[in-house]
Amino acid sequence: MRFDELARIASVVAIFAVVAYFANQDLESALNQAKPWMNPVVSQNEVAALGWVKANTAERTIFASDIFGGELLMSVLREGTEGGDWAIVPNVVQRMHDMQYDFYEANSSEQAWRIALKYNAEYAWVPDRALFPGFAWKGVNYAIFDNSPYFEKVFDNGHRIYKVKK
Amino acid sequence: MIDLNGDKRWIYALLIIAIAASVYSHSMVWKEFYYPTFGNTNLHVAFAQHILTHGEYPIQNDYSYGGGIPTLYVPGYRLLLAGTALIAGNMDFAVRLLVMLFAVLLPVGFFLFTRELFGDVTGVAAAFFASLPAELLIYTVRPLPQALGLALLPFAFYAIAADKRKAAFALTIAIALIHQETIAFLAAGAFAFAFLQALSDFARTRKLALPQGAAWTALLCWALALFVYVGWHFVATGNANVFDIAQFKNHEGNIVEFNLFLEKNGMVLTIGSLLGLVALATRSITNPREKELLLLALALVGIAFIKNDLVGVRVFMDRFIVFLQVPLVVLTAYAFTGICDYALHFDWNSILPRRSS
Repeated sequence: MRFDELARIASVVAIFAVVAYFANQDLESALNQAKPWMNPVVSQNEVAALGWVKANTAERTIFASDIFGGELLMSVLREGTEGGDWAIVPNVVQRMHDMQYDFYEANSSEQAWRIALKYNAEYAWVPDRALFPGFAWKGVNYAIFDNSPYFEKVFDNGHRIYKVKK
Repeated sequence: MIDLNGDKRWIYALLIIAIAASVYSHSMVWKEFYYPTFGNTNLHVAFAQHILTHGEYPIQNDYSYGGGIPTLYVPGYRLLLAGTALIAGNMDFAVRLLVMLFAVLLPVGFFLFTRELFGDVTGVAAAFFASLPAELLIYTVRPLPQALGLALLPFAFYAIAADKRKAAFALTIAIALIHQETIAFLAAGAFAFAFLQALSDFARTRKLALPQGAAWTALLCWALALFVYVGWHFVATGNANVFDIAQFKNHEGNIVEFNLFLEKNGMVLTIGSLLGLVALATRSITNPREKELLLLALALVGIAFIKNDLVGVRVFMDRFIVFLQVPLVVLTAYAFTGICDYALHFDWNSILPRRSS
């Protein structure tokens, strides 16, 4: 084989090798960046609770929820106080603030109850996972809902559903 | 030696490998007990379920944030999901199956678009490079309208570049009814292409005239995109102010700086597309070719979209990186095959020391 032929093949192989090396790194990085987006966020108990929801509530029943809970409820044609497309929702940031700080992080059961009533929620959606009502991820404070004159537990498999008393 | 340009079987064999690579990277969608929920995936499931349950599209009563508001979102993806779930018999399976569809469409679309501009070999290189950028994977591995829009976008640009007017119109209408940001990119790219072509014609003839051929098709696609999307917005909300949405009021999105750009594009796409862009821009100044102006227009529009904070818009900057990746993948393939071609045709004997006589 002549020198120029050998050099042509070698140079193309070298270009392929360099590109393949960096392409492999980029692909690994892309897969690693994409993996967290596969996290369903919702818990297995929460998904199982949808069976109770379908059996015991009417379509479009509103649940006081965080964003991911509300969107899970939509999948069975119920509604959350949060979740979905916020593009044209009136006072949407106020709603997020209410659900974050005055419902799930309320100082009292009564404060949470008033927020549930404000948004016409019939039930409270209280998952066994971290909550995201719009501003920050937070753990569940069960003290707001348990042994309260304002809420009545109607489902518990780890994930809990409370009826909002009228 | 393998003749890639002469024997199409090699091209199609490589394309199948590129499709397999894309399916592999997207297969992560099957790994969890429940499909991905980031990005409102269940809102679209809700509409699909509603269509299947009630046989209607609830345009005046969205499921979002307690319901009772009109739905702004365009219905294309939701109708496709409802149809897929009806056939598959299971919503969870249908949702993940659509992600596999996107995985197959992406390399095929990039192949067709790039082949139309630069030939078979560059086309197949683009089909491979389409699997590399993180943002393109992140936005197509989740069951979202944006994923379908992104999967169709290279087909639409192919139809425009090839001046296949009916296909270009059909894809423009489809994308306008699938995803808002995707149609915004398509419309802006199509308009910029028509503008660059008109500018190029003016520089050559010194006469102002409407563009011809593919650029005219692009201009019609721009008008069609505006008409269809604004029409939908009017039907849904009763007004035509498409900017009166929370995302604009609250300036949703993050500023794109170089580190973020590199993280989302990777080394190959960042360097490759830069080389491709410089080579293409240089060639386009001295000898502009219509189809290459389309690519240049898409790159310029993509850059303008991700840096819209510089002109005070400050909306969706980082979310437009994925649209910029459409021209970047093509430019990287162009640079890669250009460098290989240069190496293959370089006179390597010229670097040898001359023999003394």
